[in-house]
Amino acid sequence: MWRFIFRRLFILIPLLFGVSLLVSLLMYLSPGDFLTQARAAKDIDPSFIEQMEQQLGLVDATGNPTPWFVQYGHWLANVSPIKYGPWVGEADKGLFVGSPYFGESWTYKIEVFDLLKQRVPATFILSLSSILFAWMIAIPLGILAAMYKDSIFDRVSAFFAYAALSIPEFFLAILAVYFAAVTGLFPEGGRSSIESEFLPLGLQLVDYAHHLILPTIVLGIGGIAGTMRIMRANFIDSMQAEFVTTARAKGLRESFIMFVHVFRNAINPLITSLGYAFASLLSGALLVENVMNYPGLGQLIYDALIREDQYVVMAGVLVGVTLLALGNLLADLLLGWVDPRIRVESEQSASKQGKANYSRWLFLIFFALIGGEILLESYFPSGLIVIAQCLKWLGLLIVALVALACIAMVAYLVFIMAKRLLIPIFKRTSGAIAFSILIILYFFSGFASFFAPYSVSEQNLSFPYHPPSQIQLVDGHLVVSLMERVEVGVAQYQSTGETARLAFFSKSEPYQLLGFIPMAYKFVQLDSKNENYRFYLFGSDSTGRDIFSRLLYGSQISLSIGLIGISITLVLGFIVGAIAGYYGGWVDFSAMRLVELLMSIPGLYLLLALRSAFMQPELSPVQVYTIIVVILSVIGWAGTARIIRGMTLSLRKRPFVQAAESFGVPVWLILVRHILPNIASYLLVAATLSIPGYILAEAALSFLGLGISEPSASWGLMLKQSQGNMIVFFMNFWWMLLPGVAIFVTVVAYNVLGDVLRDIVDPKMKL
Amino acid sequence: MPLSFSQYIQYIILSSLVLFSLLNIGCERSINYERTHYPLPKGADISDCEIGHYGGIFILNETTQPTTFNPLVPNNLSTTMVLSRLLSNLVEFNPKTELFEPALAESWTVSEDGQSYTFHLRKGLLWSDGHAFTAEDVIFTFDCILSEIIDERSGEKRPRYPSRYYQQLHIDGAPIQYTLMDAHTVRFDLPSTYAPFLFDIGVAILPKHILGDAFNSGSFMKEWTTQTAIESPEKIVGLGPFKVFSYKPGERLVLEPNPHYWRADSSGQRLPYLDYLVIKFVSEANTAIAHFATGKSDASGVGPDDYEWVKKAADIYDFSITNRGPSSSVNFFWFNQNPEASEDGVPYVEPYKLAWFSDKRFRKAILHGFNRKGIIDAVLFGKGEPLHSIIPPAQGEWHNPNVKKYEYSPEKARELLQSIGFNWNGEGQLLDGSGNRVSFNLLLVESANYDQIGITFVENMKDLGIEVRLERADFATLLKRTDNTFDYDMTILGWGSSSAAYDPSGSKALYLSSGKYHVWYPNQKAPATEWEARIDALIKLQEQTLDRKQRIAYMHEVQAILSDELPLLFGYSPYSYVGIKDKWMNVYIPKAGTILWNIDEIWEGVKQP
Repeated sequence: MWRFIFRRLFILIPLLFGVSLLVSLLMYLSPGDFLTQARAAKDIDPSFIEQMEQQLGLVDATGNPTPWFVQYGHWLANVSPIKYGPWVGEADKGLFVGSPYFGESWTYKIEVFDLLKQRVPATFILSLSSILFAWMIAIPLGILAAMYKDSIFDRVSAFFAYAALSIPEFFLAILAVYFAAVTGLFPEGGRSSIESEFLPLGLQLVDYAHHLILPTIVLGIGGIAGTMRIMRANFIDSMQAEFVTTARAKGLRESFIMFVHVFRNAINPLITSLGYAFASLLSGALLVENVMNYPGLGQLIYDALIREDQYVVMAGVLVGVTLLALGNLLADLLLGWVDPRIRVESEQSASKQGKANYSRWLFLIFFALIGGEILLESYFPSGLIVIAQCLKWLGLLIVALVALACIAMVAYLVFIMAKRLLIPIFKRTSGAIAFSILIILYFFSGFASFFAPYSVSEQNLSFPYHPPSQIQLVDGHLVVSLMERVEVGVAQYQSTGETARLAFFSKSEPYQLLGFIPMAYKFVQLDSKNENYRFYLFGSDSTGRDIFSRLLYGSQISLSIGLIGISITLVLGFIVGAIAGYYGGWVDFSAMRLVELLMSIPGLYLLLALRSAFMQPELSPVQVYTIIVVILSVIGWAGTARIIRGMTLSLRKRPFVQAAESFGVPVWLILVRHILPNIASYLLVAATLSIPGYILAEAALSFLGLGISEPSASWGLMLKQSQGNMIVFFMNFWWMLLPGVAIFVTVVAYNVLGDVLRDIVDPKMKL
Repeated sequence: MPLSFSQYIQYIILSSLVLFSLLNIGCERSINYERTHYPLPKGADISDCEIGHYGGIFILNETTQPTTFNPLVPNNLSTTMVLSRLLSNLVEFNPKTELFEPALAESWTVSEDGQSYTFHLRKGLLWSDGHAFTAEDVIFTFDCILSEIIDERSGEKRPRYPSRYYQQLHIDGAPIQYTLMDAHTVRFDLPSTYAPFLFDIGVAILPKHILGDAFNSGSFMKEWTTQTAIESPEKIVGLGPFKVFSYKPGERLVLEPNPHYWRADSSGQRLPYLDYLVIKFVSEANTAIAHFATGKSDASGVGPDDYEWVKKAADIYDFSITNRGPSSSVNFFWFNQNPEASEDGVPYVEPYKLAWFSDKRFRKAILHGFNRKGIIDAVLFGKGEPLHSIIPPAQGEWHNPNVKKYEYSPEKARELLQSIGFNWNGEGQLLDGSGNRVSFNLLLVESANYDQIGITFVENMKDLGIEVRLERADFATLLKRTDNTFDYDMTILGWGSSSAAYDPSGSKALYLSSGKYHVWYPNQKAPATEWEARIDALIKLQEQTLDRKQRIAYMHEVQAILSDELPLLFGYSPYSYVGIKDKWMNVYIPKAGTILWNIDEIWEGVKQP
């Protein structure tokens, strides 16, 4: 047991090393450093900045910028408990032992360690309470749903679970803040109230708990659905087990059987999922903390990334990774404790000599690469540029190949779906509804320029926050009653008494449908050229732009990002996963370590770090879009690869694969011809269930102001307008929240469809 | 025995009941502050304010947190605000009388040539830890700012502790001289006559007995960090009305009265009246306004777009909102007119573009074509005014109301463009005399506010046939591009001041052609145009004149030149609204600056039923 814990903690060291190197590189690549702000501020003396640069190791003794490895080395030398004097600015000392120094926060001008000390417990407690909250709701509901399987209760609870799963966390957080502001039942943010300064400890804790309630609910509600689904499936499984029959035969009370025998068996997989639940909570906490003003780790890291406060980011991410690893460890220990049949040591004793060998090689290659880079950069920088150029072209080639593969993969999956699954989907009501909704959404999105009455950026400054237009049927024609402001300076509108006719399929400014078909007709427009006649189906925003049109144009980004992202993810996941599973050995080992590295960093942290490394504000909207898609897929493929590897591993032993091998069929053909068709259904289910993740991630990025930017539209960006403005709630401009509804509907549809697909393919599939 | 389902539910209900009952106890506890009454010092300042009662907690929201408690460390606005509560200056600006009034200095005399100021300090004053305050502390403070060392590397002299005040206390490159006369007298000698001296001398006085050691050992800049405030707030010693009670980063800063504060009311009660001043940190301005509108904070600025809904809650939470008129902040667009070239010989602005940008008729056309009124109408709900001068109306007499004004008129814009040889092609695109398509980039700081201005500007210019593309950058990058690399066409920035005290010399760096904030073409070796030379001369003149009327006249001429030549295309001033709860007495709302300038005099009156 202790040996197991020790081992796991030991593995953490190379992991942290890798993560810190990665983050350090990303921070180095991102434009500017954390003195950029200071340099820009004119009241800071340049000599002071020079001093700081020296102190932080950003420049060498001659004042030239230092390469990344020197900066990283500087950081590492300070963090390491065993220090070498000259490296850490204490030239008079040799080797000595000191406490790790994580650097100083530029923004707060105190040691990073002190800063983290304030923030980490807050996030830890929030994540913990969210898990507890989710479990307290989900476990009883899951049990009841299992006991009354297929009843109304089962259906209703399933529906609410979907709904909870599909609300973007930040949207829920906005609603929660509004709820708190209006009812006054809960504090609107923060961690403690002012009165608590003067209260005894006990009451301070109560006050703290009071502040935790809303963030806990917001953060925990997303976890309910998943947990409930697992609980229900496990409970049903265990209810059919033989020991239940035995217990019944013994004449035990039904409730005793359920709560003692079945419950204890059904809870195990949940505990395993605890580690992963923690991972997603750390990401979610970043958004929730920001919106709800909860001073935790997420808020700190987000601020630090924005301000390029490098040492805070590095230390913060490391703490996040450590928390995650400890969460996983805790889950394993708990499992061992709950279920004595599982002995934690057993999995480790199986570790083979081979693995140790692989890891040795992996380390060697890794260090050789880094060492080579350092040597090149120090002594032969021009060579490095040549290599970089080659890598760039190679990268472009790979990107092109991957793009081709993506198209092929999507075509193939669509073909599979059409052939095997379309009819079963339509045989189920929920499947048919979800599928139809998605088809309609994508149809409107594709033909946005035809359906949208106005262009994406067209304003009318006379109509800020215009409510949705009223449409009436007069003399067989649809007419819009026109409105005007009650007075300038107030966003209240009254009817002018005039109406204007709606014209369908009428002539318009020429535009290009789907980007290449010249068109000069729109689906619906006002039959008038008067500038001050406006038709706002879903109202207007702060500069009088049509929300309906923007929703349609926004859907082009929000809806396509999921599809494109998932296809890249699947291709990458399939290539890496299948090759690793097929070849095994060192290929498998190194691929899986890479996967673990990626999965060990809380998703949103990695997303933000990558984003700041590659995104420059001057980029065009198309470039921004591409970068976001690529970043999202790069983060997403790891999980897919891991599962595909597992499936390939078992398929490879099957006779038909071995037969193909003995015929001398090349490997890539085996993978495509024999392995792929057998996991295609799985891929399809996985894809459907992961698309919402991409849609939500894009929304979250744009919402944080780091994604798509004005005047383009995306649903997340549009929602940002309503968060940035309490006015939306207090003046009841409810139509500004429609993008949130659109995200919600899409995500629910995908989740329902994915669930239906899973039921068709394999009801016991655990995803 | 496991719990049955109904028992499980019962436990949940029971425990939540217990929790809520505890909460209620928590909320109803009143907080009493125990004051220690020390005898008033001989030199105490007796305020002429209405006499109030002790008590009350004043809650303020702030969006940025103090980054340090050391006034000489580079910091932000929030830090300055907090520090002004903890520390005092020799003289302080009174927005009521619009004059500098005695603070730590009881009085001062000016020599006839205006080059020598003698300050007589109040006697018997104590620091918040009970230690005596003397002229030594004043000398120490100026030592901290002005002391110099020789840089080891470059061999040049540089400030020992670089701070923003170092430059401020230099006049034409020569430092202000200061001499200790006796324990309560300090004399300042200026190298030349300098009108805004009292404006620049407003430096927070620091305690020598606390910081003296750190000054000598070289660790002065590491003193009074946020960590000090968290762990040992009593170490932050000041002469201001308050001292730090506790600091929780990301949550709040609580200040309590300084028992040795040097002001009292006419009945002999030592100020401040408040028991606590609480500064709560929220993540963004909207949250701050929402808190105020739901009665959770005591005062707040209210944006023009929020005025409508915040007003609705005024009766419920007993606050009132005052309209202070157009705010003292200004915003303006400008074109890059830098004719120089980078080190590689590439001109900063392509020559054909520079030809447009440096033509004042082109700039006037653009300003005529920009629907400022429309933005005010939509985005600000009509609560604002187009800006016509670099000195906004909120600065009273300094503002010149008779400058040229440029109303929204696409027709005039077209006429002007035509008059300088521009024309439109068949697709309505604007071309210059040599057939170049008129198209440029607008560089913006990433923010929702500027986005709205930006997208409207783009649409307006589209109407004139001009193509404008938006570029976004974070603030630091933007400044780098506008100040160092000059790699931009056009940009917009806003300037604001948190202080009511105003002196045109504060923005000298903008007016002077050699200034670093002379944004359209900074750091000129010699004035590029005649009118820029004239402005340089006017600024010099107003600095050397002690006659206020004459100074104002000079500044009016500066404004007239700027609005005719139009290097800066002015935006708009939103009306500035402030809300404060009705229960607070002795509140006087100035036209500009913080409304809590006299926080020491504010007291909690009877709650209106």
